[in-house]
Amino acid sequence: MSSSNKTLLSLAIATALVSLSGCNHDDDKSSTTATPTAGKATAAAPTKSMEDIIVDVYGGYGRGDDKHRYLDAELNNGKFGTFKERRDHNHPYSSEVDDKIDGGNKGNSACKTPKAFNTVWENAERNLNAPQAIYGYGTPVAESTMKKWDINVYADGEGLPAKGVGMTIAEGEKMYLTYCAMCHGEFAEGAKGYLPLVGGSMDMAAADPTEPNKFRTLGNYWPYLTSFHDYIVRAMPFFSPVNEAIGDAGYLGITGFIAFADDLTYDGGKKLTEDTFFDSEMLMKVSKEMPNADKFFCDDRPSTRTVRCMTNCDDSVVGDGKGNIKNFQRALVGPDGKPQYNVKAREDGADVAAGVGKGDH
Amino acid sequence: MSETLEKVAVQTEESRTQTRRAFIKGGLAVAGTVMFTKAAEAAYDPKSAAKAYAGKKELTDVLADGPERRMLGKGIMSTTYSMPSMYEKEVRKRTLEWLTPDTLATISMTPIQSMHGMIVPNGLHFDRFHGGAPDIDPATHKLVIHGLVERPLMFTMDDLKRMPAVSRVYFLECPANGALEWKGIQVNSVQWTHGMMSCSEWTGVPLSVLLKEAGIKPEGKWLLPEGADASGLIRSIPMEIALDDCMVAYAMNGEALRPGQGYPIRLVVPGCEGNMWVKYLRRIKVTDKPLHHREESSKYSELMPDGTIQRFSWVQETNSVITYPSPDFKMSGPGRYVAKGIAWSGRGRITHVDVSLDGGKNWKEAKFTSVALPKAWTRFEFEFDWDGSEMLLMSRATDETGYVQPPMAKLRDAVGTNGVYHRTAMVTWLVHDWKGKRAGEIENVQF
Repeated sequence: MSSSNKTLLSLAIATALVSLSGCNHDDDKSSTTATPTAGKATAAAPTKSMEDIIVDVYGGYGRGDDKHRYLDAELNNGKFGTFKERRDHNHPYSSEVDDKIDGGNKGNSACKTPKAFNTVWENAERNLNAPQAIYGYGTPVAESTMKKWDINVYADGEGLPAKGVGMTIAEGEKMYLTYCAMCHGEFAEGAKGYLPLVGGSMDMAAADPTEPNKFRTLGNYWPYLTSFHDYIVRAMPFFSPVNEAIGDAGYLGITGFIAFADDLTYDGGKKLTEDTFFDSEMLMKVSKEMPNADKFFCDDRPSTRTVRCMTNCDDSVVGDGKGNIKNFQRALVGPDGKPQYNVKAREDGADVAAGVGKGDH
Repeated sequence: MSETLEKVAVQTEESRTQTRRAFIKGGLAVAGTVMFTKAAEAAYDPKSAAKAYAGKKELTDVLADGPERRMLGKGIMSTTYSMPSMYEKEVRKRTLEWLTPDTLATISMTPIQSMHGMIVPNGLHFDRFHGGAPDIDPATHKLVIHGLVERPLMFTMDDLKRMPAVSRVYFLECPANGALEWKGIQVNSVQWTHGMMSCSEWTGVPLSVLLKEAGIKPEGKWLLPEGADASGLIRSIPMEIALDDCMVAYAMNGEALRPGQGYPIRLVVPGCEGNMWVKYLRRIKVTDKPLHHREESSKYSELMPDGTIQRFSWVQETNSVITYPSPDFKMSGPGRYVAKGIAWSGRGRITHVDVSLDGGKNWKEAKFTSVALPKAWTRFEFEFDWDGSEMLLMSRATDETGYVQPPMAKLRDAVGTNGVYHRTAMVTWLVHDWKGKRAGEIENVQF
């Protein structure tokens, strides 16, 4: 391709892409101006490098220089310090705790965009402040139109039914047996391939990587009972969610029953009983005592830090992490000596599930 | 970095320009490693073409015309929506029945091993359903933006399509991609190890434009996008990420979204967990707090070895995989091979991909065979000569932030094996000895 053709092409691409981007950045490095080569070119359009075009179209990404890195290079330093370090709210990757968000729940973390995501902040600010016409194509709606759609229940209790709407846990159990037990078991112990909802170990630590995954249940893996309640109203029963036959009181009863079945507590360790009247007030009391709430955290540091070594690399990045390249795991082998992959198509010795390959590409 | 390493880095940089001289220099620079010196090429000599084929039997039969040469094909309107050739029937999305108890709430995987280039065709895009895929009538579908805005607004599909649009290429990846193998090897195909991912060109309205149309109030810090389907899926997205590069997309790869991908509209949250790309989008509420929905607390959160639980881990970290040779293929004897693969990063553009044939001891830079766009699949190739001996094939991507994809042992040390999500470490393909019982088979193994 001749150089003049190249210029024309890049001009065409630049013009097309820049006009699509909807957000020209003000940091335009390309000062050179192309000479119109033919036709009735009106104004001289700036030529842009492909790099600049990508930056125009994709926001700040694609510059690759230190100043515009998505992450501050200084902070790109491995992830896991102590638990306390992860809760250092001054750390640029840490979330910001705001107690008003969940009414003082000790496990609250708002998990805001870390300051360290500099390209995100930069683009957001640029897009927010970019001049923009108001098109007027939408239809104004009153907030009240969202009465049926907006069923959000927040960690601070916003969105829950009024105090006094609810039922006893014994009544909730009946609701549960009618609408939930066919999949989750009569005691929420799981059924038909659905995992248990209750009865999990509160200690989720598993330092040995071969240890089986622990069951995640209401008590050990939900930081807020409000989230659980929001979810069952929103998406359960699976075949018929937002179920009017269950209603506000019924859904509260079901939440109450499952909380009871998982031995959740309120008011500093008091046990729920079958006679407990479960309404939004009780739900919030239980939500403040979710056993593992304080174990949840946010930390958006990159998960590891690895050097891009090219030759004769250090043992820590070779093979099993100790330099041994023979120490690898394979699929379990069945009695016939064939690997037992978890894929039926492969168990009969067919090496190619997708029917492609077979030696040729 | 040692002087030697710096030298190699410079030369491999040069080698990407693919000038022959640089390539030879690059090869020499790592002299001493058996595998890589073999990859170095001599200057091209036309006579070498004949030489390489010297051992192969020459075909002498006259080639006959096939039937298609002697009869007419189908008419122009035989189909008004073209489908793949009947010979491509094996290139299909697949699922694993044992993943979930219900086919309405599970995932299908893209046949990554059969994909070429940066774009996955719409019919092969992986699907993640939480309550089946509805087929929503676009004539009645609406998007409402409300909450902490100056003017709550409702948009019809026609309204949205009149708004300014952008078209951008982004990968979309379920954070559970690779999750099957935290505890060891279970599956033996790139479709299973990496198929919860696709890459498409998305077209839609920048979210920043829509939000500004409604006027965000200063206390509006979060967005809660919600779907119109049976799962009513909702996530909390911080305002900065929303204003950065999110969009409300109505098209993928030039046509309307497919029902499995959120028809008629979905949210696009580039580089972030696929679960945040809410499908069948009907409502975006602007709030001063996150919802702490189930999908950002009890699910899509990572259990750490000490029993703590990380959540709101939005970004899909740097990753790569060699798609050929991979377990769906067999080697066809010693000789020249062109390894092919994909690299991607949720934090921006891929800057390097390196390939190792010896379990990570030595690496050489692969060349890009597509443009390297931010948060999109980047294609790479790497040529090598295989002498028929056992080989451990791995790829390692680096992105523009300098983040280097870790080996599995390193990721396991950092986050344990109970996290379910975000397993972005390297995978390893064991190429069996050509003289052994499993000659040329390619097996998924894990360090």
